[in-house]
Amino acid sequence: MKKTGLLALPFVVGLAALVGLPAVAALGLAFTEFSGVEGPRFTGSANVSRLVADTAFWRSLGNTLIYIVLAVPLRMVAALGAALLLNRRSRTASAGRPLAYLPTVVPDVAYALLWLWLLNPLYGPLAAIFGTADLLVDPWGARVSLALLSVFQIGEAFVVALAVRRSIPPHLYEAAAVDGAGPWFALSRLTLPLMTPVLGLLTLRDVILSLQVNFVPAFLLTDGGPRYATTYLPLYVYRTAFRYFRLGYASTIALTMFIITAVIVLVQYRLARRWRLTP
Amino acid sequence: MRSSARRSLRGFLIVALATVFVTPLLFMVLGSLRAPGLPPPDGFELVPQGFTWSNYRNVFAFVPLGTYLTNSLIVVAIAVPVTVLVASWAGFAIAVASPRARRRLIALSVVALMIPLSALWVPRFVLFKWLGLVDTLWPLIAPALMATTPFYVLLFALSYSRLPSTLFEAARLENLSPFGIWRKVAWPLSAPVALAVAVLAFGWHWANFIDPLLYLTSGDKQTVSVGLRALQTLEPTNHPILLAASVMVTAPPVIAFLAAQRSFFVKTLGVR
Amino acid sequence: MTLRLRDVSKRFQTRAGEVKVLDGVSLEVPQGRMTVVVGPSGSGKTTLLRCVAGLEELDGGSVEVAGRDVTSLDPGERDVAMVFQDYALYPHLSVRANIAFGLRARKVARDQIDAKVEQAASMVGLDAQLDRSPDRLSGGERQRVALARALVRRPAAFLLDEPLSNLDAELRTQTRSQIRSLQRSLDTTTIYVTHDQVEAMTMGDSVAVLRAGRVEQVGPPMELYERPSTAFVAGFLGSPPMNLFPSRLLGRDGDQLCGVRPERVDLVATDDARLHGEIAAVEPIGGEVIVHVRVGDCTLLVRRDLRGVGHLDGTVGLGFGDDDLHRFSASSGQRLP
Repeated sequence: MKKTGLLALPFVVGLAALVGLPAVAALGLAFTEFSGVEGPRFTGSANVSRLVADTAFWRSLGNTLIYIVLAVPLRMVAALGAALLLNRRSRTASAGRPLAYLPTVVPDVAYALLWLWLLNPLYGPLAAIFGTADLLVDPWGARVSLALLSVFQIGEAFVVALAVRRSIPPHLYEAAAVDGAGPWFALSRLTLPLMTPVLGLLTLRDVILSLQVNFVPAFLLTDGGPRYATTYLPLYVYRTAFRYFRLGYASTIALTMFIITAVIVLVQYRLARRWRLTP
Repeated sequence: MRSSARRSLRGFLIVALATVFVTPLLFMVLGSLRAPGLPPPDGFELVPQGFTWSNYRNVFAFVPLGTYLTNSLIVVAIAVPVTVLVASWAGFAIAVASPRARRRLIALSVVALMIPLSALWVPRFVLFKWLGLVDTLWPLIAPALMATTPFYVLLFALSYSRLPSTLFEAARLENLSPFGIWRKVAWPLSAPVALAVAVLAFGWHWANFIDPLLYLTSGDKQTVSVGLRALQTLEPTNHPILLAASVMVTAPPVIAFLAAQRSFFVKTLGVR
Repeated sequence: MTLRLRDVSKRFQTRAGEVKVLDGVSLEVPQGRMTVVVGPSGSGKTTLLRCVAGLEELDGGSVEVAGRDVTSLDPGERDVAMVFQDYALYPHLSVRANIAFGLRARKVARDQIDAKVEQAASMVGLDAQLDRSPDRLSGGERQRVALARALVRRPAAFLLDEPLSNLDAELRTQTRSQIRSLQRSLDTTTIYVTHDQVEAMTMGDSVAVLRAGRVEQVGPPMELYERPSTAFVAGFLGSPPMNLFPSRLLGRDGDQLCGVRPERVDLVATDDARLHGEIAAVEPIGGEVIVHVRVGDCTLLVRRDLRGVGHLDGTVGLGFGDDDLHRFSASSGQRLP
């Protein structure tokens, strides 16, 4: 339809102003020294050489990768499992769906404060039930805790998986049942292959989200510790930019995040092409 | 029959899943009812020691939660309607556009959905500083211009593309403009998805922590998320107070979501 | 390998309350025969098929396949194969994998699978398409994949749910005879569901007319055509279906419905006629015409060879023999002797 494009205009302009323009600005700022008060002053590749030599950056990147490896598979299995469990038409399932989404609705800060208490070794109910030690003072304890508490906030992936599972025509399952397929056969030969393209997309999105979502828990629960074990890239960017006011250098770090994202989007695009999802 | 055994196993697993997902939230409420300053509990206690509601009142003595609530309400009052309109327009454009334009808009949304916001903190901050908008609520409202998140645009697009396209074609024959078709045909049919997006956008802006953290400097301009953080720096170990404040900040989006969940699951996603 | 339904009933809960979709259906399809179940939409014919397949649980009665009571068995254990109206091809699998799916699920050895799949594909003429994806196939090819998927397992019974409804007219005629000859050569007991009475008349060894969840009449097609046991069957089969009119038009007493097939009515001189009427419309259909004649407050149809009739206008007489006149009770619809 002609001129319907105009209706998308506010959205496209919003994206250009709030995503496109900042992305270009980040590219420019990445090669400057900028405190936010004076400057920016062009410094060529100085930030890049600094980044390469910056052990704190590499440690943050490593922590982020550890977080991805710990959290993303758990989150995806939880989202898929919840979607498959709750896709039937039944009273229990329709009561269960909002409950599975509920932790996602809890504001991040409140959620972090809740876990700070749950994991508290003296007062927390987890300590009272399981007699756990203070997980957050141990590097791996903190890493695993932050990954685990992220597993509850899987609402978006859950509803997308749910909608995709629902879009599989029921006739296929009936045909499979008449063909003698049991539940496991139908799951492995029908459900999972048919959901694979979207599950792939969701996984990639979750990997990229890992460059973002762990900021609040790392900021409030562990403050990046113990011993920098939970200093992830977002927290490192935040500190560099807004605690030490090195906005130029922080842009260089942000640029690496763009590059990681671009690589992942490219991989996703090629995979999507193979699955004939996009042109 | 075996299928009935399968059904009850499924029922059991659903109950288990729901329990695991809801228990932390129940603990939030339980913890907020414990009298502050008591020694650690001896083992697990279901009914908190020194059961009291007073923590809820006392929060206001530590931080101006009323001011924070007002500021947050101002943000959502502007950001939520704008988000719904922008998302609805863009979703409608996706649903009725030519296949080529549709693919482009979807690709644009998906790419935008992929970009981590943390990579945009610094350049956005620099832009808003340059515009002189730091320490105002505008940077917090601004994401509404891009529908807050492209996810909401895709939700609208999904819901509009479920309507028969002949409906829009018939309206075109009546010589309605695209905006007219949106206004007269699409929008009146989008109450459920608009409600769902409104509730999700409300939750998003209500919970937004990083933007107020970056942009707001004056104490009287803070929103609830940063207010909670302020309370934590004041009283880091006073868990009952922290939890009481958390409950108060969590309740609005949770109640809104539970009230609108049928719109979200049944009408928007078509999951009965 | 007879297929037997005994007193099958099935209810559905709807918002309006409980609906009896099947109300005591009994049906027997002898070994190697094809029974066509026909009825208007909503008569329960697809539900009947799904009950036999095990996709619906019965509320009463039993289903027997090859002498075995399968009423409480899962669909996969019943040894039946079903062709769905929309074919239900697995979109992510090639034609070969689609056909092999049921064998895989039953853990048949791999080398046997290949041989069986190729044999099944050649029976329906799909040898060249085996490695294609179903979404690259034409409607007719998809339909044949669905057939191959059903026959590859050599099940005790085929269940076909309106398998031709998504094909165009030409392909439909062609596929009709193909299905019939496949079914005959495999000698497999078959239930074939359709709403199309032409398919019913041409394909079945016997035809069961379903109405509101009950079997109205079962028998060989010609028997249903020649001696419909109820007014409903008379008015459902045939194209156009039988003329039904109250007996008072013939000047007879009694509360009866009279019926006469349009092709058995002659246009005669008004003196010899049993009925008189005004011509309301003339519809040519190829070599024949259908003449609409208003008789009193009824319209009767007459189907005649185009050449036999001259100019049609005004008042005509309608003639038919006593043998061609069927009589039914107006209240119960049952055939009267």
